[in-house]
Amino acid sequence: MSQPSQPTLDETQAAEAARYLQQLRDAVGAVIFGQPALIDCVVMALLARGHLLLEGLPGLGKTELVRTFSKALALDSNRVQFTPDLLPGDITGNPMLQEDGNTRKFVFQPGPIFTNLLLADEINRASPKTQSALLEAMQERRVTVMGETHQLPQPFFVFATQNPIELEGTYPLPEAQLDRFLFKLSVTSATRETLQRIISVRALGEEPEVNRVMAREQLQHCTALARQVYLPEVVTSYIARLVHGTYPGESQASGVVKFGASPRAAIGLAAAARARALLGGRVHASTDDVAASAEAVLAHRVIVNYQARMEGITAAHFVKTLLAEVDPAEKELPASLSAAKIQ
Amino acid sequence: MNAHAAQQWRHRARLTAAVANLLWVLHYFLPAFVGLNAVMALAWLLARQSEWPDGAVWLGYLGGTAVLLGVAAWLARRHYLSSSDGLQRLEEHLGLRSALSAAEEGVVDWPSADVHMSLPYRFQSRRVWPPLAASCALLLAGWLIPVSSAKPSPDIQNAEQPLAWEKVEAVIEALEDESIVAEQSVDDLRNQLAALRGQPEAQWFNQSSLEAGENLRDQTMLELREAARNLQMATASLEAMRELGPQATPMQAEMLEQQFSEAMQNLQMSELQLDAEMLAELAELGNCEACMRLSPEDWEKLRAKLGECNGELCAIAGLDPEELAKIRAMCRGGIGRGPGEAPLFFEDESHLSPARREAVSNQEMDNAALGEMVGLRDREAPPEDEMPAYKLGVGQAAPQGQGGDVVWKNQLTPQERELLERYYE
Repeated sequence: MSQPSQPTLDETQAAEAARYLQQLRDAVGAVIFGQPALIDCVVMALLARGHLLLEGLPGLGKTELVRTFSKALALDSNRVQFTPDLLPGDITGNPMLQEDGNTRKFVFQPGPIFTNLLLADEINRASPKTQSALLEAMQERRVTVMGETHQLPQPFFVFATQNPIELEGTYPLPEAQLDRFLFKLSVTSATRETLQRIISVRALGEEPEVNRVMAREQLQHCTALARQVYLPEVVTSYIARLVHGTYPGESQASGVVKFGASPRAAIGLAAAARARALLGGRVHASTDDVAASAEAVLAHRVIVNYQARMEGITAAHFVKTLLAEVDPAEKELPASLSAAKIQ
Repeated sequence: MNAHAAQQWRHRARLTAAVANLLWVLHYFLPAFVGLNAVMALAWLLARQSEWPDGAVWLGYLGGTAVLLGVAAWLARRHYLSSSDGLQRLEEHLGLRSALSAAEEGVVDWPSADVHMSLPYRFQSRRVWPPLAASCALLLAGWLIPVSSAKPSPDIQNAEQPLAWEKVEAVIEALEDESIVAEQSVDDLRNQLAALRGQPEAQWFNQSSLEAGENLRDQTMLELREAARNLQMATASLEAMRELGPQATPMQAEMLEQQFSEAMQNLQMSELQLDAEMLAELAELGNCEACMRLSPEDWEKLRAKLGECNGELCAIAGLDPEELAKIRAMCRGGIGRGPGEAPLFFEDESHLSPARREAVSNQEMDNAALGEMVGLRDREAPPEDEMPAYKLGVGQAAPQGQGGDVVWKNQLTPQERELLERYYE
C-alpha cells in the first residue's frame, strides 16, 4: 500500500465544500436557466483556478453567466469589449503623467484586468498584440508595465467569449493563448422549455437578482481544498494515457490530429478532475471525473489536420473517439471478456 | 471491519485478475490448440494405421498441450492483470469511482465488502467455444475416421514366416525323413525356400513374396502329385506285366511297356526326382521279360517298396492312394476304348485348390491331368425338363468361357451368375 505524498483533505471538509459549491450552483442556476453542465464547468474552472473560453452565439447568456458568478461570489468583475482598435494598455493599464506640486511622475493607472473576474467579450475581435497582452496576466497572474510588475488581485479569472459567426475582421486566438484557457465551453441554445421559463421569469432591461452565497475567502478556501483532492495512480495513469493518445501516431484516433495536447493540458485535466471530485464531495478523483472533463480540457488544445477538417471532423469528435479508445483500466482484457458495469 | 473489508476486496481483486489472466492465456492458447488438435488428428490416423501404442500418442498430445500452455502463458504475461488492476476493474464494475484504488493507496477507508457481486466481466463465449468445438471435432475425426492397418493381420504378424513357406518346409522335412526323393531335388527345393527367406524380413509378407511362396508351394505339391501318379502308373504297369506274364500278346506287352516307359520318363524328367537307386531299379524292369525274371519274393519286395513309396508320396502330397488308383483304373483302356467313362470329375467346393485348378482347363482338354478337377458344382442341377437347351446337364462341366466371358463366369458368385443368366433368358 503506497502512502499519498501530498496532504489530502478529509471527507468532512470535502462534504462541507461540496455543500457550499452546491449553493453556488443553485444560486447561479436560479438565474441561468437550462445550463447545469455549463454552470458545473464554470464552478470547476473556479476551483481549478482556470480561465474559461466561452463560445456561443450572441444572446445566449455568456455575459450574464459571468456577471451572475461575480455577484454570487461577491467578486470584483470588469468587462472589456474587445475591438480591433483595442490596445494592450487599454487592458493592462497605462502609466499616467501626474503632477504633484513641482514634480511630475508617471503613476501606473491599473487597467480593467485588475479585477477578480475579467470578462473579455469577443476576445477574437482584438488584435493579436492585444490578445497576447493577456498571456502573462492569465498564466502568471501579474502585469508588467514599463519594467514594473504589478500583481493581479486574488483570485483572478479570465472569462473570455468569442462568437463563432461573423468571423470577418477577427483574429483567431493563437494556440499558445488557447492553451492558457483551462476550458473551452460551448454555450448552446436554450431548449423550448428553458425559453418558456426565461420568458415567464425575466423582463427586458431588468437585472436579475442574485443571492450572494459565498465570500471570496470561501472560494479561495475551496480552491485550496480542490488542490488537496487525491489523484489515485489509476487516475494519473488515465490522464497520461489520454493526453499521450492525442499525439499523432500514439493512438488509433490520433490519425486525424496534426498537433496534440501539451503537458499543460495534462495538468489542467488533473486539476479539472480534482475540482469535479470536490464538487461531488469526494476526497479523491476518479477516472469518471477525467472522462467527464476531457472534452472541455482537450478539445481546444488539439489541432486536427487538414484532411480531417475537410471531412468535418472536429477536435471534439476526436476527443470522444479517444475516450472510447482509451480504457480507464490500463490493462486491456482479452477478446473473450468485456467489462461489465452494474452501476 | 476495515481490515476485513480490505482482505475481502483484495481477494476479489486477485480473483478478478486471475480470471482475466486465465482468459489471456486461453487467448493465445486456443488458436494454437486447434492447430495441435489438427496435428493430433493426423497423428491419430497415422497411429491407428501403424498401430502405434496409444500411450505414446497420448503422451505426445499431453506434452504438446503442456508446451503450448507454457508458450501461451509466456506470451500473455505482458497482459497479465495485477491485483491493483483487479481492484480497478471492480470499482468500475460497481461504480465506486476509484474508491478501491484510493483505499489501496491509503487515502480513504475501504468500502464495505458485504455486497454480493459477480465477476466484473461479460463472457464472450463465441470467442472460446468455436476453437474448443473445432478441437473436439478434429480429435473425433482422428478417432473415428476409418483407416486400414498398414501392418499385416495379427495372424500373419504373429507368424514367423508365411504359411506357404511353412508348408514347403514341412514337405522338405517329410521328404528328408522318408528318403524317397533324390537329395538333389530336395536341396533344390530347400535352396528355393532359402532364396525366399533371404529377403529382408520386412518384405516377407509383401504381396510379391507371398505370391512367390505360394507358387513354390503349389508347384511343389503339383510335382509331388505327378510323381505319385507316375509312380503308381509305373507300379500298375509292372503289376499288369507280371499278371499277364507269358500270356501277354505282343500288343499288350508293347502297350504296357510303353505305359511304363512314359511313367518312367515322366519320373526322370520331373523336377522332383525320385531316389536314384529306386529309379535305376525300376529302369532295369523296362520290359515284360525283365519283369518276369524277378523271383516272386523279389517282386513282392519291390511291389511293397513301390507301394510304400507311393503311399508316402501321396501322404505328403495330400492325396488318397486308393482314390488315385481308382481314377487311374478308370482311365485304363485299351485300343478299343474311348477316353474312359469319366476321366475327369467334379469335386466339392470345399476342396478347392488353386494349383489343381490351374493345371486343368476345360478349354484345353488335351492338357487335363487325370484325376484333376475341371469345375465346381456351384448350384443345384435343375430338372432336365426345365433346363434350357444351352445350359449344361448334370455332370457336365461349365465352360470357362473366353474373352470377356471369363470375367463374369469366374468372378461372379453362383447366385449372381444365375441371376444374370435368368436376366438374359
